[in-house]
Amino acid sequence: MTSEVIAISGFIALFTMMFFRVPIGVAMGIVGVCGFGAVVGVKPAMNLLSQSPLRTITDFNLTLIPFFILMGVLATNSGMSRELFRAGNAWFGWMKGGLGLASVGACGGFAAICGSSVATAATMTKIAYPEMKKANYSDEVATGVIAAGGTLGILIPPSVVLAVYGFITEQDVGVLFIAGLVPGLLAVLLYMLAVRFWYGRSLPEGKAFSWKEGFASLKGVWAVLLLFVCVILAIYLGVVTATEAAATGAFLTAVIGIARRRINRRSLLNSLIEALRTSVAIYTILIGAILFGYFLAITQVPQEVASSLLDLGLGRFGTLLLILLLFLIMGCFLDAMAMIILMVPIVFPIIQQLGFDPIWFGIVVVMTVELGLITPPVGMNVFIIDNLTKNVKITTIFKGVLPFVLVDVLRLALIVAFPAIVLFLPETMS
Amino acid sequence: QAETLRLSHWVPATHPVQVTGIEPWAKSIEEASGGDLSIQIFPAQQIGSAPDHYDMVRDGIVDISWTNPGYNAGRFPIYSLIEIPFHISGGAAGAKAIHSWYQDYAKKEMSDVFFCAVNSHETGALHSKKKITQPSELSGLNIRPAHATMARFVSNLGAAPVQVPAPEAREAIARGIADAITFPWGSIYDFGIDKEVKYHMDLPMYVSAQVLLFNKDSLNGLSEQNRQVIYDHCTPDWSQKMSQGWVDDDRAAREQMIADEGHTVTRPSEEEEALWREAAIPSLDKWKSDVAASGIDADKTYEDYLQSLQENNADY
Amino acid sequence: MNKLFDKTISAIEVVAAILFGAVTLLIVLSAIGRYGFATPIPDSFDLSRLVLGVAIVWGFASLGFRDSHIKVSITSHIFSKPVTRWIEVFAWTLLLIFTSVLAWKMFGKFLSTHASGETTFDLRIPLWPFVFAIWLGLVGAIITTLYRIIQIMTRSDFCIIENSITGSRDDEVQNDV
Ligand code: NA
Ligand code: NA
Repeated sequence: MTSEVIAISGFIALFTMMFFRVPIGVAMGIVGVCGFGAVVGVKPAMNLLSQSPLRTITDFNLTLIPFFILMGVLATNSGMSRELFRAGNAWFGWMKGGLGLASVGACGGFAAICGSSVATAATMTKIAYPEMKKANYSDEVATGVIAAGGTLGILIPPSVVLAVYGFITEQDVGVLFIAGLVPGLLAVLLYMLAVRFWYGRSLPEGKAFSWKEGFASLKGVWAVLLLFVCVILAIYLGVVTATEAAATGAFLTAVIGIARRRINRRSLLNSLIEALRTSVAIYTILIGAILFGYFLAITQVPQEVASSLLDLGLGRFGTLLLILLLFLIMGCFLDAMAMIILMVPIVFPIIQQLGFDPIWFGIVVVMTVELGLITPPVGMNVFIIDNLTKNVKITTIFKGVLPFVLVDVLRLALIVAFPAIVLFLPETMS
Repeated sequence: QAETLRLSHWVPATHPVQVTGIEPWAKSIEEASGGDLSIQIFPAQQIGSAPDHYDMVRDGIVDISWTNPGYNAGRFPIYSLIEIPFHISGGAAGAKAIHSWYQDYAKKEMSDVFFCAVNSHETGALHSKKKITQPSELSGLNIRPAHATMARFVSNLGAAPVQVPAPEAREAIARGIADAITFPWGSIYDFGIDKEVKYHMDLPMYVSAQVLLFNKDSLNGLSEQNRQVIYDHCTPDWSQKMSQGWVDDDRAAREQMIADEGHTVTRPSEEEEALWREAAIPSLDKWKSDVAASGIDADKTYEDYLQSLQENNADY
Repeated sequence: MNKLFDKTISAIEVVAAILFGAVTLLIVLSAIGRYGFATPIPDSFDLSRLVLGVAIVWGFASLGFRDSHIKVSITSHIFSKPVTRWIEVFAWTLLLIFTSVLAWKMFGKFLSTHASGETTFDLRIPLWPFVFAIWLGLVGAIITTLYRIIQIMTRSDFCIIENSITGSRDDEVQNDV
């Protein structure tokens, strides 16, 4: 068998196993080891298991992931996500469809302290969905808003996916985080416009607004604001590394929660357990993806893909477009993290050869991956919402995200056309 | 029938290590075997992370690996002698001297692999945010050391060693996590640290020499002629030859830094230099007691090392 | 038996969570130590990554039981319950095989680390106890995964979906704000 045949068989085996409910990381790990064995030999392939997984779980560069997850969990468990929604509701609630706008705003706010999209979507489903149902929003709108808003979790810093991108491409995670800031705010704005102008007429009327209530709600969100500003400012000014910022952010969230009597010993422990579970699920994917990456590397398929892509002679933007299209198609089937780990090592050398900025490409990739989170058939955010809501058809949710998919594509086009939207802020860093 | 061996290393494919060291070496092997034996290079940790490279070649994950023994603290106590500062005057001759000295010890200390060659950069220096010429000036600083031996050396002088992986070194210095770094001259530019450290102490302080290792089964599985070709390419002379390009690159970087007005390259006075060499004595004593504990004649090993350095004109 | 098992898994999780918390604290303290007093905690780099590794793998053991791995979930929408059950058994068996081989190789790694004398960078603490703890976690994962497979095969309510991503169930969410 040639390496190409082995690689293609590997991909087929991978998708088959994933379809039949094998954990994604485990499927990648099994294919990685077996494929490596087919190229190099069974014994060395098995020996991969005595090095690589241990290295992955003890890699210092990855430790910021569990810390940022912990920060998000502590924020939720100390009620910060609910406060965000309440503040959003107080300020936007008077408008037609105001609750929908409030949900987008709360998703964006929560994304600023939570590194994961599915966690953002899950949290907001628990908080915003019941409220929207009460206010007579259709399931389509209510779930669509949350599914799309949830994707902000990996664009607005902190972001687990950006951290992994930085790990793979050896880019400064701090710079990547700062680069995600403006595109993230742009996303919030565009999502709000999408709610207003797509669903405009069908949306329920808002509730009367009282200034008193509005300002009272702001008292609740100071903690989120403080945390976000501390963490991002520390990274922006370069006082600490991203890992230290993550650990300190989690620590401060706990301290604030305890000081406000929202977190006690028991809920602190529960938060640690919950964050650990999420982290382990991500680490499992990382373990498998890295094994799978070694398999791909040994077949030399990435290099061949890269050179044949360049041989097509599509030019700089033509090649970029083709790569993004590939990401979009893959995103329809693959998990966000898995896709980053699988695809970035293959396409990154091409991107560098074409002279694109690696930081900018990181943001572009994350936005493409965001799209994958809400597109059928495998939209992770949609699945989460489907799991957490009763009596909502998955097709309804997919229908609900349609306008957001459209503005996502628009935003992607904007950022490809004007890289400065991403790059001007990190360029002001010391 | 053509045979192919897979070689893994952990620096970028464009690094002088690959371009001026490994590639010419591999090409020479290919030619000497009449095209019968070729080496396929996997750069940049593509099939394994840097600290795993010894185990990777031992376990047959690759046939050849370019390994930094310093990444596995405490594992190769004899080899760590080469990490003690102020002993080697030049990287290429140093690689040859280390090879000549270590090849017998390797049979014991790296017994489950075949030791092929030593690959070193030019002697590295201390690069810092403020001017340093004396050992006492290290006190209270945070320093990113090249390896565990250097970590001990700087902490003996009252500095705090900060361990971060090489790719994060720039970040660590830029963010004030480290005030100084021991690094090869060329790497300062490669990692973009030249924007952060403006002072350089111009003494041949240390080396961090990599070793090229073969999996034993892979080697034994070769035809007799091909195996001989490999033996011919695993000599002290090849260690020197392989290191020369990297050394030249480092030297050019040093020249560039001297010419650059934004950088200050300072040679300490002879008295100061003597203080530095004196400061390395506790590290040597610690090394001696460490290896003596594992039943090795420390004094003799050290004498052999010095002798090899002298014979190859690589002694400090 | 079931109760005892659940309790053991919870206890494992608590220990792992405490280790996780300790690592967070270690990094914060080390950062403070460095900025405030120019003295980082020695070995904070190695200790934090190694202890976190132990916490992760012990968490992996609990995941083997709780089914909070990230998966693609289309099949339950397509196939009937008996077919779904066999698909689940298939998936968990592959997880079991993977975990078992990993545990076997990790034991080899423990032996070779023990023999190699490799240590941490600053304090020269031997690495093998950490590798041993990680191996133990994998043994735990084999047991929990096996137990889960038995449950899938024998229980009628095998497809109760725990929130597979956040790991928390609705009733755990606090409503005090
Ligand atoms: Na985020
Ligand atoms: Na998708």
